[in-house]
Amino acid sequence: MKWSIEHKALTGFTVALVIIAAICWLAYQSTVGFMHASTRAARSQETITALEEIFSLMNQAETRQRIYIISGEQRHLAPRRAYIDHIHTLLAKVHDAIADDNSGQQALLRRMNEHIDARLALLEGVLKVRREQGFEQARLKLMAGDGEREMDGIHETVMQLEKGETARMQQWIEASRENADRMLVIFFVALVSVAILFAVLFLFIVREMAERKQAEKKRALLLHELESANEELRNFGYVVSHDLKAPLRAIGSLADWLSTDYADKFDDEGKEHMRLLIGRVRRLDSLIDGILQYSRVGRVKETVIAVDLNRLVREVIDLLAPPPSIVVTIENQMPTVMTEPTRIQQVFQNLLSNAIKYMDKPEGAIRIACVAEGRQWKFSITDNGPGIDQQHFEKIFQLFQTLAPRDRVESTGVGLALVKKIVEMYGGRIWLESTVGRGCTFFFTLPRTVASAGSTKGNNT
Amino acid sequence: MKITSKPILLVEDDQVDVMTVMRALKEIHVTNPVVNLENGEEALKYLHDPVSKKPCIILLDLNMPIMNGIEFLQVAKRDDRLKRIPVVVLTTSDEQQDKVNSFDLGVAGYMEKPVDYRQFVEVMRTIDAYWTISELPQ
Repeated sequence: MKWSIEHKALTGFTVALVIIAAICWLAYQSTVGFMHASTRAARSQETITALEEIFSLMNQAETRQRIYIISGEQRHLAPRRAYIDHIHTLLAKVHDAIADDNSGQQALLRRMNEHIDARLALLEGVLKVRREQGFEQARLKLMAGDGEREMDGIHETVMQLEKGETARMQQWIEASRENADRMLVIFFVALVSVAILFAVLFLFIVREMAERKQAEKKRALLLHELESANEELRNFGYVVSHDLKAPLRAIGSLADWLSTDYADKFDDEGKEHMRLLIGRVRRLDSLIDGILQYSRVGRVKETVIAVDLNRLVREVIDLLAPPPSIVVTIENQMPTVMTEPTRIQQVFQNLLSNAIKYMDKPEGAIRIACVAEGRQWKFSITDNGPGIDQQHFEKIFQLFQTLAPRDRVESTGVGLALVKKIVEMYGGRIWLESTVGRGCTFFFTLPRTVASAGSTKGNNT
Repeated sequence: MKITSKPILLVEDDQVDVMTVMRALKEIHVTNPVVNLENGEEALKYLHDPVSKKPCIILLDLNMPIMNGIEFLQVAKRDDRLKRIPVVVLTTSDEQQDKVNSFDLGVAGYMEKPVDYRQFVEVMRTIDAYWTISELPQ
């Protein structure tokens, strides 16, 4: 199956659209991934900062405490509470930030938490001793080194957590870079593929247009050839009518003058030859007329008008002037049809003149009838003449075919071929039924779409 | 013909056709002189020549070499001195277009040349009878 240009173009554009949609989707996915990775990297950064702040706050809390222990001034204890609250807030933040982590960070955080809690409890213990037992006891407790150990534990876990978080941040930064790179690649591939697709489509269309133009040129050429062939045919008709007939007429005239002017010089045989000569001239003349008539059907267009067949058939009968021994009857009302009057007249004239010409009975009867059959009119012309053998049914409709020797019945063999051509030109059909010796009936149909009046049975004429 | 002194202009290239017209005219006792010219151009040359006698009727063939009948009519019917001379087309063509063109150019009649000489004599007899009765401007 050959696809039409519209089909191809539509398919091309659909594919382009699908590619663009897929690219949009991929780009969206990458962007979302990029944004997610960036957020996560930023969060890791924040976590690291928070961890450092916690460690520094712990240090500060410790420093303040030492100052208090040394000086015993209450005002140095005041910010301690705030530091501890802030530490807990930051711890909660870190806890949330690494909630989705499963690389041991959470365990580290728990350990750090324990160290912090232990350190804070130790500090609380030292404070209590200072308040209740004085500077010396507190100094001894502070020197015991428990706090130092916890502080080292905090430092270590913070370092480890930071290390883990830094690694995580690196991963996210890597991921976001990957996403960004992928986005660039997708855009590049998209641009190139769409460009290629459109280029291919463009080439397709251009080629198709060129082909179409070529075809149009070919068709124009063919049309021109057809027109000139038609013109030639028209000229042929003219040539036949004038150039063939002119010499024929000259022969006819000269033969006539010879037989008139030299009548006394011809013997009986000579006179007979001259008579035959003039007869043949007339026959050739009517043959040429027949060819002309036949070639004109369908070539020369007439105006289509409403033709009342009742009147037309009666006119044809009057024109043919059948001898008194032949009775022509129109059996029922004929319809009025939209047609070319000359053509339909030729149909009836040829069929009726055949019926009259070949009549072999002393009392001839020719009946014309018409019935509506579906979407067609069926006309019939029935005679009681010699009839036609079934084996000739096809042959009689061919050009120049006659059944009787031309010397017996003068005939060109054009009539029925002409009738068939006309009937078929109007989309009808012609056929016959016959019993040899009893007569025959010619039927022909015409589409009712060209008819405009009804037909009724039994209106005799 | 009404005025027997004026010639009949026969524009016809076929020799036997010319003989046919001459013979038919003789047969029906038309005494007008016949001027035969072979094509439209010759005919126009004759008609434009001040010494030649203007014809009472022009019998015109359509299919001729050099200048055919329709081309002749196109010139003659535009000429004020020639357009009133009756032209009867005498041709083999029964093409509708030829008839339409001829009458568009104001011909007085259009006769098909019959193959049968006897019929031709009758055609000529009718033409003569008509143009014997019909009045013509001077």
